[in-house]
Amino acid sequence: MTLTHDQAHDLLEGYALWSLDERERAAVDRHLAECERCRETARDLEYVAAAIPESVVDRAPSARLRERVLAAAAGDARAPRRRFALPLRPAWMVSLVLLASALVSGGVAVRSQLELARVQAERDELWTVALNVSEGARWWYMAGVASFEGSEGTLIDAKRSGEAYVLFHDLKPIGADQRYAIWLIRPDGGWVRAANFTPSGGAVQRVGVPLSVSEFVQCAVTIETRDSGAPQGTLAMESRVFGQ
Amino acid sequence: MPDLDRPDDDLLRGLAARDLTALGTLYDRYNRPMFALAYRILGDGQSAEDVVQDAFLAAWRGVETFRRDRGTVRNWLLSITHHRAVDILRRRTAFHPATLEVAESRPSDADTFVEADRNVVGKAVRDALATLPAAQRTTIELAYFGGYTQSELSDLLGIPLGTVKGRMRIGMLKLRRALEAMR
Repeated sequence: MTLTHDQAHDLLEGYALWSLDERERAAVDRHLAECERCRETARDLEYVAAAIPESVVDRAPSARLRERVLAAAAGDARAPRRRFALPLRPAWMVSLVLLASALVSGGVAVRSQLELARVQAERDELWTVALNVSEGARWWYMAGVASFEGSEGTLIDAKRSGEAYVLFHDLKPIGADQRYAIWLIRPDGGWVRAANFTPSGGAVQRVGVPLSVSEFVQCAVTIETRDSGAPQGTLAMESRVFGQ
Repeated sequence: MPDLDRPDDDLLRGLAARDLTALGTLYDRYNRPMFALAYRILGDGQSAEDVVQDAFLAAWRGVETFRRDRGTVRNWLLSITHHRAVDILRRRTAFHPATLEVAESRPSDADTFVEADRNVVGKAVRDALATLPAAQRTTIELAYFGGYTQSELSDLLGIPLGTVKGRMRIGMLKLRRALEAMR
């Protein structure tokens, strides 16, 4: 969705009030990146919108919340920080992946050709990831939640090719009228739909992300019944916030 | 310097240095307006607390996303709270009330207006909102607190999309003038 200057300008009040759908919002974001006049107008409107919550009377949460917030942050502080890079040196990662691949391949000698092909495909994907990582790719891990526990996805932002994609493992089957939606989340909390897809049934599935992920801080996967619109379905996976 | 007196910018530097005391002070300073906003949008305490926790963790993890030129730390935290609460609201299946009457019956602050008068800024903003014609105020409040997109407001209010945009534009302009007059 591409907007002319007038179309973008017409949406700025809705933009400031967080009252656009995701496609409109993404289109306005793109326009703002190029238009100083609209950026200035948007800043003025956001100043007005920022005053609106001041009209709400303060209300205290439960006393337990302070402990919850600090405990979560403390746990977070203890966890290894993943700032746009692997905790392992890339060369080690490649070696580990190769070793894992060799072990996997070695163990399948007696399996069927079909199974062998599946493992080969998985190994190829792992090899691609390892190469991307060794070339400085950034990555973010998503774990399945609730009934999607066991599923995993890793968003890879490949440096050399400029291509981003998610490598999924063990996706759960979904209904015929449903699809998985990949979401990228901005620092201000806005969700942008990056891709829709249905599970292939394989152990590993690669899904392209046709957006620049650099301006986002988190990613998630939901189950949706529509190809567009705001997220409304069940949350299946979510990453931690990027940039730690 | 006692923690309670530490400026917001200093607290943000503390967050960047993984200083939990700084986060605690930031929490003590802003948890009430953040919770009130999330509660106003979501209408239940548990979800509102989850949003506040999520917002503080987002600030803890992404302190470098704060932009001084986009407003104060308070604005930033309230903005994160608002966006996350609205996103949750939109994700809830069939959250959209079928009628305007139901939409407008969401939690309000009518029961606590006496207490509200102690908050001068809050009162000024409420007064500014009160100066708007009802149609413009309703459109802005349903968008901001109700999480409605402009298209959804057009359906809900039974008016053309252009009218929704027009009400927002004029309402925001008047609100801006009223706020500037109160400075």
